[in-house]
Amino acid sequence: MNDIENIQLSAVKLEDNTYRITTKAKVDDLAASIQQIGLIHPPLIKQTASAGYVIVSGFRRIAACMYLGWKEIPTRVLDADIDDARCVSYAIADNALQRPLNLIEISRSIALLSTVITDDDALAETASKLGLPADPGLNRKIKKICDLATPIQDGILANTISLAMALELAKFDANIGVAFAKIFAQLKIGLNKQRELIVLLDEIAHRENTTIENLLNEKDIRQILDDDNLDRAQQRQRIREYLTQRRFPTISRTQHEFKKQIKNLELDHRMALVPPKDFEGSSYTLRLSFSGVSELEELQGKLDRIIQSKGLAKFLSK
Amino acid sequence: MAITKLYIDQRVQDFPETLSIQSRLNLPATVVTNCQDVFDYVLSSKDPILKAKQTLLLTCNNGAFIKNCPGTRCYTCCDYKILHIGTFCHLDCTYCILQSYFHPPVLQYFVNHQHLLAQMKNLFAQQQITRIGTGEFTDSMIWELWTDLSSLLVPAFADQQYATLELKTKTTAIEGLKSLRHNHKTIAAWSLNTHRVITREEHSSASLTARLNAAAKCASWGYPLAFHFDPMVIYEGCEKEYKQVVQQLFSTVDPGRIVWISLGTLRFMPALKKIIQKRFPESNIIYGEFITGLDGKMRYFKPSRIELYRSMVSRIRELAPHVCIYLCMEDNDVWKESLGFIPDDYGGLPRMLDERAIQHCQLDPKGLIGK
Ligand code: SF4
Repeated sequence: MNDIENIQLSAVKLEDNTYRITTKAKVDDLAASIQQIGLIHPPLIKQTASAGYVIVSGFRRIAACMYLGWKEIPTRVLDADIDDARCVSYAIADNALQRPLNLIEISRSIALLSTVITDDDALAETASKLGLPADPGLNRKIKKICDLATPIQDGILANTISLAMALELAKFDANIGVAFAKIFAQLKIGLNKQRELIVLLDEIAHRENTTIENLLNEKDIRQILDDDNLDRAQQRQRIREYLTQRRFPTISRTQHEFKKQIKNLELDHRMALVPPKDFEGSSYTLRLSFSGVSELEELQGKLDRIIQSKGLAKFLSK
Repeated sequence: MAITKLYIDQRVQDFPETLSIQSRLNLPATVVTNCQDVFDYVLSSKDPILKAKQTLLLTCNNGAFIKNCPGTRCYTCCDYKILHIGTFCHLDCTYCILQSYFHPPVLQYFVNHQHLLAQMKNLFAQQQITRIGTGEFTDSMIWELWTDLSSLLVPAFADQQYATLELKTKTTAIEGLKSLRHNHKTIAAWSLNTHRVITREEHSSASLTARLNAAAKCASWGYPLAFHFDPMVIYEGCEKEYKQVVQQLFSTVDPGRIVWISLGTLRFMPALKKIIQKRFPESNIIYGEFITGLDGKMRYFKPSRIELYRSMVSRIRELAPHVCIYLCMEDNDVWKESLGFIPDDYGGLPRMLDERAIQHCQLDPKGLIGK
């Protein structure tokens, strides 16, 4: 590694993110620390063939020094003709061996590594030496993550989107993936509910010959999502109910009718009338809870009311 | 879909059937000592199911040629038997359950016909009314292009009095039936569907008109007929379109020739959903209002099934009051609501169908004794 060299910050190409691993953009905390105790680890930069330097590692340190108004900065400078594979290794090692990387950073590291190593197994071997996952299959998946739209990556960083979900979102057009990411962030729903939402919307889109994008822009759905009077739990429930009804209109109607019948029956709290699952079987179950014969007798009258209910009889004969 | 690759199990390479099929297919053959090689070949493809439809393996059936139809206790089963002459199919229906039934699926044709005939002989010797078909693990008639299957089976059934053979198809490959001595013991049967379902979901199959014309031809050759509205697909406007199919059926075919008509709505194992999504992304067939049935299969919501059955039954009865209609894999509720009776009113579904077979296929009623 070369000696420490002071260089002009104006000569650093700040817009070149080729080797950027970190996802952290804020620098005020780091700037405060540098101001107090100085820059302990000089950033690693590489001379370019034209003029100036690109950052290999130390993006935040350089940004913090700029923030502090420094004109010059101590750095270690790599020659312009250095092997790119070495620069990549330095960039990854400087991050991965010093702190735990988040999923986006791991993805960026693997994507970066794949620019210099094409064979999956060789990549996995190098990755493991650099503190990254050693599973080629997993790496192939993770690599895609850093290409996803920013809101999806934000969701991953905020833990509202898992790797599994991110990979599912990657299959959609970018704008749909982003729309889902925003809804997940808003409703704060876990993986299973996220999947349910996607499946419902996808299947409704198929049934109605429209697109998920159109559905998400529909008034009824927007109204639920944009209603400030509803809290998160209410929004979750409303959206789920709405989509389920739309996906399964006949089943929902029947369930609704059954609930209406139950309501009309004004069942005693010790009684429960349970339909067959999905109304598929033919047996309904009536449960009675009682603690003595007198209580059972009391329920007998209520049972008679159920038997005589015309509405229920009509419903059951359908 | 054309066969592009032929494998021959070494054990059957000198069988006359093998040589005949090979020359009719006019394809170079690869002889294998281990059928796993064929499965591996199919599995190495990006779409093993499609590959399996283009790859024919001539082999022998080491097990039973006659099997019971895999019904379930939860729904009324017709007690049908399967004549297991081969597996899979080169038509490509989106909903075909065989896609998820065989692991992996391979188009296999069993050429050890001596065993097949011996097992059929045993079946006939039982002297019990039997309804048996080749169209459960394959389409019955796809084999006509390269084999002499119908000329083997039809006369064999013609020579006995107790069993009827049902050849169920979505093709028009019937010419081979024309000159066969059938003695009414073979029922020529077609799966019917709406024009929309046929064009969107039953890839490579014959059109409705072609199927019905083929049926009329078979009727003119004296064959009893059967029709299966299965799987019926529920979509907006389906009732009207299914009724039009019924109308077209009876304007092409004499109802007096029909042994039975079955009705069944789409049902499938949950695993098939992913396969359909992957192989037929343009198909919307899996996005109906399905629930998980008592047998674990996905099926339409019961009231929706009843509604469609009812309208079909009423239309069929209007046009052909005496035709036997039955439901495939439904419970008594659905029977009662759709047809107005339950099979037990007539001694059970197997009995109902046996009696139809006796009547139309001229079977010996003594075959009902002890059943
Ligand atoms: S014709 Fe029958 S066996 Fe052939 S693909 Fe269609 S459903 Fe499957």
